Amino acid sequence: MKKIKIFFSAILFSIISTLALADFDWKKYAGEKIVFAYDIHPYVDALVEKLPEFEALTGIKVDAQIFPDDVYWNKLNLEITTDSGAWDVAGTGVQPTWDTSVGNHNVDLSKFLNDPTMTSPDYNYNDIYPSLRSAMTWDVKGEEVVGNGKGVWGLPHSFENMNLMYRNDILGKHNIKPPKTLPELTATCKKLKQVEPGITPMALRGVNFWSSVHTAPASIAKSYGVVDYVMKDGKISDTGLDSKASIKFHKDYVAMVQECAAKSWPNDNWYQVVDALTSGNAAMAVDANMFGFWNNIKDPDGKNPSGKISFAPPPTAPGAKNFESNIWIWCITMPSASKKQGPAWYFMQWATSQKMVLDGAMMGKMVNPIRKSTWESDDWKKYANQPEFNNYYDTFMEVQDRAALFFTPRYGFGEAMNAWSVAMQEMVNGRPVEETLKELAGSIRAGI
Amino acid sequence: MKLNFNLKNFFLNLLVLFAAIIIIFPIFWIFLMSLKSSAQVMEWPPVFIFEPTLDNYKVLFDMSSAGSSNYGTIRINFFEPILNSIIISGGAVIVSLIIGIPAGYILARSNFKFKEDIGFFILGFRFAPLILVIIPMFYFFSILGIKDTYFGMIWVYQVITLPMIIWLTRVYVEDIPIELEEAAFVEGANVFHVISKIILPLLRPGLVGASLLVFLLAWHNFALGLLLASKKAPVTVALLKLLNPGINFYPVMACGLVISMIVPILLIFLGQKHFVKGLTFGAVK
Amino acid sequence: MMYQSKEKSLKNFLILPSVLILLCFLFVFFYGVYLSFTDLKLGKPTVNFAGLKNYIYLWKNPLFWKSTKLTIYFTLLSVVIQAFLGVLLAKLFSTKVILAKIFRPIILLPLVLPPMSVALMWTTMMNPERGVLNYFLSLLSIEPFMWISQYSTAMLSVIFIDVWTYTPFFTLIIYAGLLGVNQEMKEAAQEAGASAWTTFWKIELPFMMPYVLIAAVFRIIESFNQFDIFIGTTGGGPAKATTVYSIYAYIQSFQNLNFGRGTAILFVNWWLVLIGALITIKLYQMARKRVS
Repeated sequence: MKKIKIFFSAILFSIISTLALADFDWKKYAGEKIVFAYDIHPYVDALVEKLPEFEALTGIKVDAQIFPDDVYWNKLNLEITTDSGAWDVAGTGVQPTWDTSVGNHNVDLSKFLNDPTMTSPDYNYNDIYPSLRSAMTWDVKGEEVVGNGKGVWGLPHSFENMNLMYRNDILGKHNIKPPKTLPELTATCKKLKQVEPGITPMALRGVNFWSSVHTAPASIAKSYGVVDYVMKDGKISDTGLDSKASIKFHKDYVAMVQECAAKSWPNDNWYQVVDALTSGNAAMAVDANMFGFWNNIKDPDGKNPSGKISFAPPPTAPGAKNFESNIWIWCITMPSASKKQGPAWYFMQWATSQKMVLDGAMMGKMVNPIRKSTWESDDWKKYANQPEFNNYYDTFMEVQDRAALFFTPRYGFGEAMNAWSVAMQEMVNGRPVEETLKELAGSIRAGI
Repeated sequence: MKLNFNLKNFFLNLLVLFAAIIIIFPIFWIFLMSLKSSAQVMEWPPVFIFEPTLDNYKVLFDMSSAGSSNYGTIRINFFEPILNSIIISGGAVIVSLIIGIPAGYILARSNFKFKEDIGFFILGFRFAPLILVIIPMFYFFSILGIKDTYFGMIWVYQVITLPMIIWLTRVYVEDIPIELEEAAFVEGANVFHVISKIILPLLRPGLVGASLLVFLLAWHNFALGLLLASKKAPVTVALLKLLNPGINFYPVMACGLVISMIVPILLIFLGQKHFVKGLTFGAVK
Repeated sequence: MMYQSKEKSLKNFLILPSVLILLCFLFVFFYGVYLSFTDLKLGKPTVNFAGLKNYIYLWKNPLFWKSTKLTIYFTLLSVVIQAFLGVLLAKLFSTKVILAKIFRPIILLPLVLPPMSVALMWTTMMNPERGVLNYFLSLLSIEPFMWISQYSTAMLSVIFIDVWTYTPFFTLIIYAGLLGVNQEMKEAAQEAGASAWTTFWKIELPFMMPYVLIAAVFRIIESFNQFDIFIGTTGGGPAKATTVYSIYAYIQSFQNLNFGRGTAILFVNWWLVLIGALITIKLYQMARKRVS
């Protein structure tokens, strides 16, 4: 009797689960057409290559419009905040979305995530790393952005965490070990300048935009105990940029820049960093780890510095217990003005599905993959642990535990953080650290 | 006497050479960069003699036609933007010539009451930078449905090309002695006849130069194409798409620049024969 | 007589198409100016009329005044240098020496490189430690120049790029004008015993002036509005050394999302351009009168 009960339960269960899976209608929006906008990036390369698969699965046609990097943000801002409706899915980042979500220009995706008729049962949203999910989740209260909320404003698509990357051929030649603290980094640079005078010790972004503080400074400052804003009762009450910890951090960091960075530092952006590290004109960098990954890829002509870039956690404050790492997330959002929200959502969940994330990673393009399951899959493990990638995989796993968004959600995030990068330029130029930070904090306080 | 003459010419030749080197060098350097490997681009001391490689051009073409393995399957669509630039800049100049030359003629010859004000008004459109008007322009274009169309782009480019054509025509016409036209008018010719048969031939070198200049300035424009177009964006926008983290962008961008230079350089060389024959207005007498 | 005046007034309508085409943009301009009197912030749902608030903020803001100085400095220096070099080059390339004839076509070449596209190349050439420009300086035993990487030299470097790119503009317009210089008058003067210098100063230069000034009008307008070169190389830095109005407005509008304030800056810019253009046009009309 028991056996028959189990047998029938099993059959019932499989029928129900098959029905449940079959319940999800991928072809609900067949025949629709959507516009997908993104910035030029290997991430979107991967998606575009797989678009035929998406079209076969859903019958939805996707018009992919790709724009130049850097200036894409201006176009994105205009399209989204004027509710032009030209785009149904837009690639963006966390911080720019803080700004556009305030005017209800983005769709809160939780309504789709919680709807079983709209989201496939094997989507598994919780498989995405927690720090990525929480970075994309906040509440909009009036005209302010409040962190730790419930609204889901975008799906992470691919992301970067910050590593210390170094040329193992240059450091290896002189038996130099990757430094662990910021002052050690400065000392390593001094040594490098003696033994390899033709090489810049450190490739660093210095351009007067917040993108140069979100890589190295944010990651290292956190281990000094620096915060961008002080919270009180869930609201931003003050800035932490002129705290004692911040002064100490900036003194060390400015000294490092003066010692280690190229003279072109005030204008250096990510492309100068990548070029310097790849060509061997610089020995180290603290920047997005997938730059190292991409330039380690073995290329058939052997012209890439394949295998020459190794990874380590970002440097810390002296005596700090843990290293910290900031993250930058490329995500996809849905502008509220889109008239094709259903098909758009289908595209978004496909683009971030387990299959696509793994496929994109195996192409070597959607790196770093956003899902835990991807990092645990045998295929990706095998691929990412090939000799030319050195310790990329292990360092990622080590760093990911501590990797989180350094910045506090805030509308108009850019104004204060850009000012921080300008202040950094002034300090490197010789202006006293305490005085500059006081002025910076003062101007930020005035806006809180 | 003979010695003096040679010395002066020699000195002048030297000056010309010096000026030519300064003018050409950056272009030459970019051309060299397009043939270098990524590591050679920022090498110190800079490399002038090296083994050139066509790899970067291969990457550019691969990216343009898609299907390549290493550099992504996404089409950067590099050649279509060049076509867009030609159509938009060329179209804008042609439209400006058609409506601008008569307007410039009027500014030079007529004397009605608000002439100088209108002239200044026309000029005034260049005063405003793009960002001042970009949001209203954005709405304006969206509502009219002319975003990302050649029509819309050629129309908005008139702000760049038309004032210059009008004013340059005015300046050149003012240099032509008025007697010729007055004679024609007395004989009963209408204004179109005067413009096309008398003024235009005399204006030709100046106009060719002006058209070239205005074409090049329109070619330069970046912001209008970025913000008001997507598929019809000009090559200045497409060039920046080459900043892809997956490739050796410095040399590949240099390749893109070299290729996008071909059309303007061709036009310059085609047009410059109009300058060689020095047309002296004095001959009109 | 009647026939003539009717014909005359009819032909004046030839100017109408130009005016009409540009007229539409006038409304866009007024709307933009209106925005400067609001508190428009990109992304925020509410927009309120704010009167002179943005302008008062600018008036009190030291960065605004610094930006004013930088903008005027950049425009004046660039245009004057370009005008001077333009005259020089026009004269040089119109001589009859053989190299002048051969190299004449290259005058316009710098203009084939759009500043925005080429900016990245300039930053590599201007790299203080690895750039080719410093290499040439080192050949002449000159110390490495910091170009755009240092506060004190950044503006001059941007002016350098601007001058290199746009001097051909002057050269070409002046050159076309030179072609019209009355050959007979020149020869007569020389036969009367005037030196080459006097011929140049008293006859050619006055003839060239209207062209120099009209080219200057356009260059002044564009220099006050120059954005591409700045954003592509320095982005307004280092430490605000090159934050001219267009960059300041861009930062306010697109980075700080304060569009109302950004358009206010640009409206002030518009007035500067207006004044500059008016002055130069008056000079042009004076030079034109002198020639006739």
